[in-house]
Amino acid sequence: MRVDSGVQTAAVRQHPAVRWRASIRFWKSKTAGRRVGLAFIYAVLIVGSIAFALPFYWMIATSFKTKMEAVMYPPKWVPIPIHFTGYERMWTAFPFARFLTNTCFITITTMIGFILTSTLVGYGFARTKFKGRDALFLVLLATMMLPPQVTMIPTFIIFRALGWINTYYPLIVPAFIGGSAFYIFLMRQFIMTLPRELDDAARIDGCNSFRIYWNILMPLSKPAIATIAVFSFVGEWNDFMGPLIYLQSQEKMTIAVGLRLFVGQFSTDLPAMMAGSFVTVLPLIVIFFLAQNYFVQGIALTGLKQ
Amino acid sequence: MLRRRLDRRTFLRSAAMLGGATVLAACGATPTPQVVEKVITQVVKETSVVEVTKVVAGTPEVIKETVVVEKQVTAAPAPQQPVTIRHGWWIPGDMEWAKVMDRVAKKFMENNPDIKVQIESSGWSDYWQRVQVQMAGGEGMDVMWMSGAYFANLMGKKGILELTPYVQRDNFDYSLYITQDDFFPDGKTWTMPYTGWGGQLITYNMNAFDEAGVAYPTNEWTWDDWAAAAQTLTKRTGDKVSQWGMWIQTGAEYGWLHYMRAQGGNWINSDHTKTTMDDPKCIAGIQWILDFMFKSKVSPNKTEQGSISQAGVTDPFYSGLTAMASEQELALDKLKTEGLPKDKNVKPQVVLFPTPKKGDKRWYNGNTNPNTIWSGSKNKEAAWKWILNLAGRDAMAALMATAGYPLTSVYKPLNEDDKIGFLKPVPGVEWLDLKTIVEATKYWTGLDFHRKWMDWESALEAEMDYAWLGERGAEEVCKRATAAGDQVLQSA
Amino acid sequence: MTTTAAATHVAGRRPRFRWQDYEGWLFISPWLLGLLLFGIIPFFASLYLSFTKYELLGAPEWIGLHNYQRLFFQDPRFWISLKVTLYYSVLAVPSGLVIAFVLALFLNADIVARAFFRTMFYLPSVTAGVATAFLWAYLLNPTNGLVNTLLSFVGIKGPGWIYSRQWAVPALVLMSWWGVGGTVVIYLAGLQAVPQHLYEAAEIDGASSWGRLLHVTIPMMSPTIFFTMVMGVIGSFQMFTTAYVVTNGGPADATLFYILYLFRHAFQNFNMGYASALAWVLFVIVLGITLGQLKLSGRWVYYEG
Repeated sequence: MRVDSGVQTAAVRQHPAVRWRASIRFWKSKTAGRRVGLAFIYAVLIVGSIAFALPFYWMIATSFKTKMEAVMYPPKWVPIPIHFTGYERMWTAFPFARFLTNTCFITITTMIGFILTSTLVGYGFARTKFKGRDALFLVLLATMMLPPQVTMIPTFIIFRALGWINTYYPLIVPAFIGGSAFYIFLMRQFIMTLPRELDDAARIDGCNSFRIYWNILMPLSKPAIATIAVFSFVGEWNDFMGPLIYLQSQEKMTIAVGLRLFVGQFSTDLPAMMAGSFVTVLPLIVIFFLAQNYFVQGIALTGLKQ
Repeated sequence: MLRRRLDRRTFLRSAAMLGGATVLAACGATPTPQVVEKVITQVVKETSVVEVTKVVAGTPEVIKETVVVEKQVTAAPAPQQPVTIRHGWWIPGDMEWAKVMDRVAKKFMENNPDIKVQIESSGWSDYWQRVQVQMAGGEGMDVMWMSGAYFANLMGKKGILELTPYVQRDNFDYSLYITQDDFFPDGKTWTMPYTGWGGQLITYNMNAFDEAGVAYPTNEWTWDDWAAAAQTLTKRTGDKVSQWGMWIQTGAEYGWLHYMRAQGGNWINSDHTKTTMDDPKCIAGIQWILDFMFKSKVSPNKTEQGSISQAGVTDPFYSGLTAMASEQELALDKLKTEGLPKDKNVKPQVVLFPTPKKGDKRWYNGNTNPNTIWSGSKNKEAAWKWILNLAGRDAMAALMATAGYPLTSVYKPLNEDDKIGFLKPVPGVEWLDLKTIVEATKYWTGLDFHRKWMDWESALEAEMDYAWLGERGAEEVCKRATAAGDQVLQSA
Repeated sequence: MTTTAAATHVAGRRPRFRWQDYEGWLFISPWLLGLLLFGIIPFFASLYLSFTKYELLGAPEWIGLHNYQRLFFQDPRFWISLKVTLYYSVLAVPSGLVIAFVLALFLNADIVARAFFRTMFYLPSVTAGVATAFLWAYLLNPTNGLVNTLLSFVGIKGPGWIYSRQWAVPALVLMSWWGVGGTVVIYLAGLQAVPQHLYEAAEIDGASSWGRLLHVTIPMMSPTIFFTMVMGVIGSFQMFTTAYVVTNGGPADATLFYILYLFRHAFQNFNMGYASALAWVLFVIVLGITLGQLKLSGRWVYYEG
């Protein structure tokens, strides 16, 4: 089985220098429509980026204000003079570094768990045939439809019976045993876009289902896996409900819970909260940026059709 | 492993023991909660030196006395494993409170080496979810900071331990504290005081009054005086208002409830079975607010308020956008930690909320947040000691000393103290009449909490919103609110 | 049943054990195990609770259909919250998906600094909810907010947005557009799997950009689009946080979303039995809608594999 990758491999095509030259070629090309189209795209993206980045900018700006300035009307867009009191308060409010390590641990392990389960189970639903598969798939979807607020207490009782209260198990184990219906569904849809001919060719070569899963389909599913990695990382990083209910001792707490401490009953310490949010969001942005390497056009699959 | 056969004799013997134990337990169980007294094996005399701060009534003098105290300590059978009690609370405002709580806990643990206090903080909205899930799951927190609306419900569902026997045993003196009827249903005690705050005062901008040539408000003001002043103080050019005369809050607790009560009405009857907002007196109170908002237009209505501020009235007031407000405690926390905003022309002062006519009864809708013990706690005695300590003078003083503490104390002596208590002048706003704020607490009234309070109150607010939006008149919203409220009260 | 098994059956011999008939179970076993251990019991426990009056201490008290009776016949706010949620869903889901799709197409084009732009659009999805909420409150300010100022330039007097009963839900729909970053990411992943050679073939056949979009991109993306549609509907029905933080159900219950109402009964009124009944009614509704979507999907979703 060979996969023809066309004139240029994907890797070469993505090289910045190649893209830049391609871009210039576009601009210089005689197709005015293409030029206008691209200009339009750039315009939309630039305006959109400013709009979408506004909350982020406001978050950073507020972290440098005083508590009074943060709720001032009309709003103060530029925090001059800069105050670092928000950062001071954030750092001393709770053991930040400790919370950060806790959060890292929980987030990374659950991310691995989600990736493993969603790819395995997604493959099972997408490619294998077994009795009751479609019924079970419906069950999978159904599990997402019941609001979690009403299953919190029975779930708590189960974990309590297992002796897992005030440990990380209730937060981590469900990523490995159970997984997330959302990610499983996503993987299933994605795998179903990959042609079955790949499977068949592999089977002729003697691969069993697991080899097909591991060696053929998973490498092709990098964009979906990257998506799950990013989503689960962000989700677990920001999740406060699980730690809030299952953790008791201060030294086990996570960042997300810590940040919510700033939302008081009478007043919210906005500068400190924004400072904390800004610091904790930076790793997420880095992860996302890095994951972009997997969001590139996949290998061209010529030579396999018909 | 040997497999023991359950022969008849063993079975009968264990059944008998089980039966006997059950009978004994049944005999021992009493319907009312009892304090289990530990067996005294030793009587130890403990000497300690305590510094007592006495406030001599009537004078600003503070006398420090050194007192030698001899205590009889009943020792429990040794050796004892330290018990851990979990204390749950939410962050009220600043994280400074959390630090104070830690300090008080540390001191307590030094004095009580057999008790370990684990403080568990959450954000305000998360706290109640945590309480419910953990309590229902059997892992409730031993000590819970409590809020009135939730208290009635939790108590009704038997989640809270009755404290009457403990209070009686240890002779706790409630007369030194500001208390709230809501927490003493049927005359029994369920809570220990900790914090509390209230609502109705007028905060006004002295500079705005000077500019407009209006005399400052006095404690004898009537509603007519107030309306007249608001009229003069409202600065309007065409459609835009550069300064409102008054900013009326539209929530119930610190807003419209007060106006209804001031006129002589109330929102519910005394045994909490019928909503009484269709009473003409209540309607009159609401009408007054609507006149301010839509007739004389001296107060912004709900939409206009939203246009100006997303975070309440603190900022509009300190930006000079309103000459008067009934902001609770006028954001003392920000004043104490950050001082008066310098570039704005606002000089705040407080006065008691005016009465409709001279001599009318005063109201100060307040709410206290006391501490409670979970009824399923395994360390009730230790938890009791802790909340007793939190209600004590030292803990109260520590709380008051928190940077930016914005509230009056529920411990009355501290409200008369100007060295370490509430009357200590606030730097930058020394002219602030703190005595008036303390004076207002004398008229403390509760919020009529009952088991369906949260559901009921939100139904009322949804109806009242139509009034603040200007879509319906006073009589109509009051009647609809009464119907909506009764529907909740009558639902099982 | 695979053809081989059928064939052997027809031939009169007992069907052999085919590993391939059962290996699927192995693959889905992590999920299945989790379902049995952690999923089934809470799921049906909540159903049971919906028929009870739940005291915090002590066993729930069976009251039969009483909760459901109250819900359907004595609770006007149930109907209000259902209406609000449906209104929001109908507005937010299509608009959000279209915007996400268009953005994904743009962000997949051969442009410079693509990773930078993609990160910009994903930022609100990782930014603290409180920051976004406050910012939106400013932008949607009826008198001086950016949105109404822009509208005034074209001569429209902007509405009261979150302070108006009629415009509160549209305001929240507007706010939800800031969260399309996640959907954009999913679409980007889907776009990577569209085989390049199909575009080239279409171009050779003379298809315009629009034609390529309609006949190559969308059909190849249809499984992904279907996913976002189903999840979009489920997600919109679970809308809670923004309504809780920004409007708290107001004004006058105009933004009383279903889950917000449920949350109040569960964790403010401590009425878990009634909340469970609310949850199960929602479950049935969403299940019905999803089943409908599944049935219709046969017509337009194209699975390559």
